[in-house]
Amino acid sequence: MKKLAASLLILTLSVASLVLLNRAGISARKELQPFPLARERFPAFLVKRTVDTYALWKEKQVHGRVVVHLGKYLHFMESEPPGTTLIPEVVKYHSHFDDTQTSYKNFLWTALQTNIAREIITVIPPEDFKIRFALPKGSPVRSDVSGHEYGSLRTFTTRLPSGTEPILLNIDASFFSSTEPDKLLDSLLKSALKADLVTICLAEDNPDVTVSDRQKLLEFVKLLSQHAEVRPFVPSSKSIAVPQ
Amino acid sequence: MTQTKKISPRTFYAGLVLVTILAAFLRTYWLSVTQPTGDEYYTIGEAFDYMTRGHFGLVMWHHPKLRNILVFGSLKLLGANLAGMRGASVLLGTLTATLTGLVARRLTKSDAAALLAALFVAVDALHIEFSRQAVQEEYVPFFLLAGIYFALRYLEDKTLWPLIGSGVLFGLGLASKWSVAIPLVLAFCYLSWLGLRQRGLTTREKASELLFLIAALVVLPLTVFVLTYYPWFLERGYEMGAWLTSQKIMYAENLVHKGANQAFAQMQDHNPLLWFLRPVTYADFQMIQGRPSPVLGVSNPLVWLLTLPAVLYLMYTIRRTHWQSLPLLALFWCSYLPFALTKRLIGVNSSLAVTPFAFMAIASVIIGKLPQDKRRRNYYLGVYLGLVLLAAVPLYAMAIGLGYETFLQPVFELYRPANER
Repeated sequence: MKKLAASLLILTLSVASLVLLNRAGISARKELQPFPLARERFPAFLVKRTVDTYALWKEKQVHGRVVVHLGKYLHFMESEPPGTTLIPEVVKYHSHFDDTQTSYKNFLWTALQTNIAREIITVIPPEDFKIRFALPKGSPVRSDVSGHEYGSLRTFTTRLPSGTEPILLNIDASFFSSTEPDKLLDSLLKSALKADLVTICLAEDNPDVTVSDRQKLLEFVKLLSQHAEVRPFVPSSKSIAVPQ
Repeated sequence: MTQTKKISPRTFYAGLVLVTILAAFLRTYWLSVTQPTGDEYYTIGEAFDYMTRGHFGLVMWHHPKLRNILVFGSLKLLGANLAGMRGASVLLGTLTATLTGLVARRLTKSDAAALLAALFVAVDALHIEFSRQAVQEEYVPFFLLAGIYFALRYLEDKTLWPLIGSGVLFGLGLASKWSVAIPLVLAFCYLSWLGLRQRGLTTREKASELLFLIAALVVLPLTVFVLTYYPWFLERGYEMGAWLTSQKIMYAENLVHKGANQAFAQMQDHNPLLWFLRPVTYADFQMIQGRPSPVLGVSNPLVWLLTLPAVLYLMYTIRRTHWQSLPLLALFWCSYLPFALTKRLIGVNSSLAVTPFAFMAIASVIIGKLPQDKRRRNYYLGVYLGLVLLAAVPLYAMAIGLGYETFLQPVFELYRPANER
């Protein structure tokens, strides 16, 4: 009888602890009011620099989220830890993540490190996708590329993802290097995506983004304005630790 | 198996305390002077990244995460210094010698063999090398032996707590390295077999026994294992489905992992089939301010090379000894074979989970084969132990990073990486 009772107690406590852990993980996510992209007049933010996208996420205190980034570049260059061999210095460096080195080169990596993002889906225009993953020029892109950053999922795709969880959506000007604004708008409005923050980024801090890409992005903003309330966002000095 | 004159429990425990003190001394002497390896610096970073932000990363990220928790706790408790980062390894490494004695006593039924096995672990250069580093290698034998010890206590006492303790400890072993799963499965099968063949039990009682074993040795270890990922869930917002995906990714890396420095890994011993056939080494050759600062763990040939003869002898005599050595042999083979049969590179560091059982087998055969005459027995044992300890002295110096400037330099130099030549 004792064994039976002990077994049931262990099983109950184990299941309860795993359920609680699962719930605690999900409730650690912080999101704003989500909306479907198919909805009329959804809010969107126009930002000048890639780092402003990061600053907006930080200011809105979103946490543990899936980021969908539409753009040609990955923004995932790791910043190097200091080369110190002094243990207190190593401890100090790793006790708190320092995001002051954030730039257009790494803002998505920083978002992952600071736990704004837990997963990143990068949507790359098909032509740029083929170049990046060395696929033959004429062939269609058949599948996504999955990767991970020490266990944190990263997906590279040419299509908007599906899924029910609200996302942080960032549309970078570089996406228009081989995509037309009306085509993207059509795909977005037809998608079943839900988001709680939509950013449209001119990427003025990224020297690899061309003037033509930015012009197309502004055309996209014009088209989108018929469906969404696009507002400019300027980060407050408090919210941003990244260099101005 | 060994049938020698019994040592009184008091003498046994006094002997075990002495062995533990020796193990503690060898693991702490010169500890604050031995330079950290590259892996150790990374483990500090990873411990803090994991505990403060839930991130895996950089060094051995594909292993389970107990190391991050223990290194973090140890640094918080003992301070940001060498003792702080190595505290958990030193403690668990020391107690591995003690547990070897306690487990060997039950598996070999010989107090003398148990003390000898514990002494082998206490003075073993590879156990010492990894007990003095902020890595998880020494956690594995500790939690494995602790889990086995409490499972054996359950068989003796038939009270519930030892098996619950065993389940928790096995879970912590799993959270150190997945390889603990195989001895855990063995322990579960063995206890289930013993439970189901008990005479005089009703079907209901047998079902109750089996349910308890499943709860304590399957569900509980898995729960403890998952719970060690709590910073990953709580800091990063993950759920159980994502956890399973991450385990698959880690498992895939485990199958192909070649180490951060592949050229250096190729210079090391990484074939488990050689562990008990010739002396094997694990080296960390660093340059600190332009000067070599290597640590080099080399197996003691007078102990390690007796493993296979001892194990084969126990197998040969197993029927004569009424299958008494079966649990020990099963533990040895199920710890060793997964490494021996795997295709990817396996460093000598993994042998730490196997050698306690190897040493138990050796000690058991040595004690069993000693002559009955007390004087001759003490003479032979004394000579053998003297030789083992004599060989252990230079091996110890190399394992703690001493002796580069001495006659041992050519041995160290064998492991200087190509880019430092």
